[in-house]
Amino acid sequence: MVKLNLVQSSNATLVASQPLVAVFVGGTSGIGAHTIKSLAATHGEGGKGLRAYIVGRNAKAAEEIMSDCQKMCPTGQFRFIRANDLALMKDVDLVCAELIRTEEKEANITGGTSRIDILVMTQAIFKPWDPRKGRSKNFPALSICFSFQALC
Amino acid sequence: MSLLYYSRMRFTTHVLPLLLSSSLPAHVVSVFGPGRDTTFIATDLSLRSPKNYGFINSGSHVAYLATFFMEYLVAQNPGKLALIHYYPGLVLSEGYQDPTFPFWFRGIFKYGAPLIKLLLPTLNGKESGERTLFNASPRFPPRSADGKAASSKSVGSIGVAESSDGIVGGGAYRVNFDNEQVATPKQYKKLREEGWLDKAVNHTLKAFEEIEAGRVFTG
Repeated sequence: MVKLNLVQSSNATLVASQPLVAVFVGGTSGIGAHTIKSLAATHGEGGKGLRAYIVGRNAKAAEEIMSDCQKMCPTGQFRFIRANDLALMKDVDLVCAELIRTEEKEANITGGTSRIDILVMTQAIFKPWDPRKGRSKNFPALSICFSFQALC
Repeated sequence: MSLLYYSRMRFTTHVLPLLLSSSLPAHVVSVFGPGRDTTFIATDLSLRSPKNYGFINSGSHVAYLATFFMEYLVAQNPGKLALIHYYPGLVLSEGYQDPTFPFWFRGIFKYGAPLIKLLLPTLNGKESGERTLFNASPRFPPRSADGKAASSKSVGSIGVAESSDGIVGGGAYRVNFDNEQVATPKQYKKLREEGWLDKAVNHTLKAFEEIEAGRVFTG
């Protein structure tokens, strides 16, 4: 067990070391949301700078999380990139292209290098019952269990 | 398996140029379940057959494939990139209270929380966020250019972690909810000897290639 106070002090060192660019895929709920909030809270008003992207489906949840983060970290930039269905590789491709474009633009405006320092991926579906609900229409599989057959 | 493995590795390879531009170096954290690797069905890596597919087997294959693909990525990018497969423990978040779940299932997690906490490692949301973020710390450095163990065994009062292939500071890490190592099971030795690292990587790259070309991947 790495002691929690060491975890917290290490995170504090990280945000004080340099401006950070972080991406949270599936960051609109659960552990992803907790992690981006933790980063914003640790950065607070004293960190070296933060640009964080939330990639996910739920725009409303993302807005709420970003608004919370903005209060904790007033100088931070928080951006939402909307995904449709990250189980499909095509959607991953589209989302990544938009992320790269946006990051290049933001880095240009702020005068830094476009980059990603931290990428946290939590995209998943936790639906033991009828996992078809909420899936895209072009998803013919019996359930997400067989999602590999519809990757494209 | 798509969301938990293929989607995440595809995302990582797409944004690799941005990750390599990080001066930290960059950390990639995939939150799921190292340690679930048990059954390995060599003839059906993607578990295409419904006979092979199931909760246990899919978790197992995701863990195997992630371990191999992460080792491949760190070996390709020495000094630049650390990848972490993180098991978060049980985090009793809103995910368990989805209104489409049966009432008894929601009830177990709502009212049974004290009992569940005795049985399973459970983190609250705040600690979970802090520990997930900690995976980006110098405890998990990228692999050195010569592939040798890190020269320093610790960063301040925190030890440098061991990679899934047994190298201290080796770049690809299997990490438990408490940020300690999840041991690589012993069957990996035989799988490595049989060349499964390359086979798993080729399987994954082939899937990406076929889909990108507009074909249907059948592997």
